[in-house]
Amino acid sequence: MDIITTTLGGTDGMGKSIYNFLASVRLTIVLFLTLAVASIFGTIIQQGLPLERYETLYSPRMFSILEFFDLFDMYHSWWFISLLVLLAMNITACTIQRIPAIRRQIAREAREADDSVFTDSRTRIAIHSDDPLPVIEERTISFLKAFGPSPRITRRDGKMYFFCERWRWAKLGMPLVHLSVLLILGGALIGTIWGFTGSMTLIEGQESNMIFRSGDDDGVTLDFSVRCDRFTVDFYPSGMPRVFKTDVTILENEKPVLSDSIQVNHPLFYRGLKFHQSTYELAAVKDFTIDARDQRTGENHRLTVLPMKKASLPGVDASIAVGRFVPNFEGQGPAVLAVYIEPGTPHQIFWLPRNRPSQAGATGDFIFTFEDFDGLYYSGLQIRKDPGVNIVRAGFILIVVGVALSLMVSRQRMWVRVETGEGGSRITVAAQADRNAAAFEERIREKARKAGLA
Amino acid sequence: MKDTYLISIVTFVYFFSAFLFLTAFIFRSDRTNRGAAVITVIGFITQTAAIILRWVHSYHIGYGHAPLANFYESLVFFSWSITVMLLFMRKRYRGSLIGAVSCFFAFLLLAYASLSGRVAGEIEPLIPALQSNWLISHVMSSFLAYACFAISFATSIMYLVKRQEVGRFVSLLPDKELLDEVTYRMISIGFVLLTLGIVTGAAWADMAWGRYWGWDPKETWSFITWLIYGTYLHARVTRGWRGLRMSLLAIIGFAAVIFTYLGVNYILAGLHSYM
Repeated sequence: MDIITTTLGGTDGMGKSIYNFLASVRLTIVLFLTLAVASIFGTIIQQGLPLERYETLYSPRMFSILEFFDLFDMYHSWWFISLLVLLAMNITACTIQRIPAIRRQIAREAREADDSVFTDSRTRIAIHSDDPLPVIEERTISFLKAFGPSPRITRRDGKMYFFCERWRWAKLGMPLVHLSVLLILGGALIGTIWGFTGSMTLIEGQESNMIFRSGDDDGVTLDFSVRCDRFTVDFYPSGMPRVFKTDVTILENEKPVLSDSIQVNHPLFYRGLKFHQSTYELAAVKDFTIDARDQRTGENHRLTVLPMKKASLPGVDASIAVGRFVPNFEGQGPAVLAVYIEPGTPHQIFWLPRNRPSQAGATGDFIFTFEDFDGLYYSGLQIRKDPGVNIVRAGFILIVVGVALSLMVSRQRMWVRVETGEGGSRITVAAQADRNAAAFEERIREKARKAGLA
Repeated sequence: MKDTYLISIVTFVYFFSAFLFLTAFIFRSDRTNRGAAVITVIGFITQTAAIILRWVHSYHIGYGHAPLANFYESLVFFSWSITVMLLFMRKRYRGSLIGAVSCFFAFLLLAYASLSGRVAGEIEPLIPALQSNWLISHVMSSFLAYACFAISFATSIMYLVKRQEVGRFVSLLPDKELLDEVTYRMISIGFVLLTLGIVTGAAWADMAWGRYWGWDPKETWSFITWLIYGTYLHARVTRGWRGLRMSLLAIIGFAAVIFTYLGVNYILAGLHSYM
């Protein structure tokens, strides 16, 4: 790493100052705030609409300004990407610059104390003790054990030194976060360059190997095809969809190789592609199920009514038909406009929302209930190929670990020096924590008091 | 008992503990402070019970989901998160004023949830996109992060007031170093949780919508929030910024949190508009 630093830094002033600029935290802060402010624009101006829409939304002058700065698709604009690239360079340079220091901090050799820690550390305790040395030693060890693994003891110039340290790996948090940001940015770049998103619309029984992409007339042709075996949708009583899913079969050379169902939140993975259930649309109704309860006999007749066809009612010279079908009637779920036909009387027309009985007929002989309908649906699948997604996922896991390491765990170090002379021993405690130093100091003082060291 | 009924009781409990904390602050009474803490714990336990009750109840009516799925539920959980962070913080900082402000925040959120006509308290079924195991981890980490940021916002305001260094009220405030430390601690924890919230959200979006990041307004605003607090942490840890600039960043950061939470839903359109 030192070699990289020298190479990148160079010996000439120009290269060095560019490198220092790239590695500076000041640049990070400027980039963070610039990205933050810039991102706001993209949430105020709707992104990715067709250009004609913007012409109606903005005045011609405003339109040309916004278009000049690519603000209609700003997150993919040259200047936004440049900011991200600059951020990546900044992170790389800054991490490389700090790696030697981090290595020194983690290295075991660095754990040895020289006497300066006893004068420079934030937390210092010095006491005098007349107890014999073995007692002091035992007390010190038990005090240090409360903080970390077995302390290291060295003797030098007639003095005794104790050292103990924990969580030095927390120092890896910062490079880990930086690495994961690079992984996420890199993975996203790979996905943008070599990946695609498209869609496929299938009706039951249909198969296809064509993926459509908006703004791309040719689309993508797969060397296998997808068949929609069945589409099902299930609703809450309110008419809101509860579950919708497509049962599909993958066909390689016309031979079925895999059957599975695709549901929202449960995509299908096949040969580097991900198939998502995105939308559905009712193409046609095959038939309606309507219950007719005969009030005189109490009998219940279940009728299957075909669209545009009459269904005769049992025992009487009358029939029922469906005039109109509404998939969602005033937010209450599906409903049909039923037509009651009895020769010699005018037709009666009434709404039947699903599962809510209604009466019809001059004599009130029947109560009708629209039970259900059997629909034929288009299933809208979204297909995504993203060769960078695993890199991004690795970045996601590492960034959480890294941020937690660098913000919630802090390296803590403690040194104790025992100098024994004529009139007893002098014990000096020094402690350092990289974070939350005040809280750490409080704990040290308390533990030291308990151990009889203060 | 209905959970919404319990929640309206908790609303008053939090108001009462905010009042007690304020009394403890003004009269510098340690006993009142401890009493306020006990009342807060009682409110917190009741609120936890209400959340569990609602969770169980949602299974009884056939919807079966964690109560983290609509605006009402998010307000209740936000308020719960603030109390969690307050109680967690009391292990080290027992300041009455921080207690008063936190309880008042928790109270305001619940009062809005219970009394506003815009917030429906009913348990609603989940649309297919929300039916996922990611729901719990995503929403919990996000709102716990928001709670940390809310407290850091309060302490930075106190810091700004304390800078005046005149007047009787100012002299009652905790000292600047403590305020600065609490702000930093809360932002550190909040940042870890926010990162987790964004990452779990992205993983979920990848499952539900087929992309982990789509620059949807909610996503973008969470990114903006992340950048602001990222700036705070870099500036403080590596450049040693303290004082006014830090407080301003913490305040701007919380404004971004509020906009991520509410502004996006009320002002901008997007995929998160159900909550």
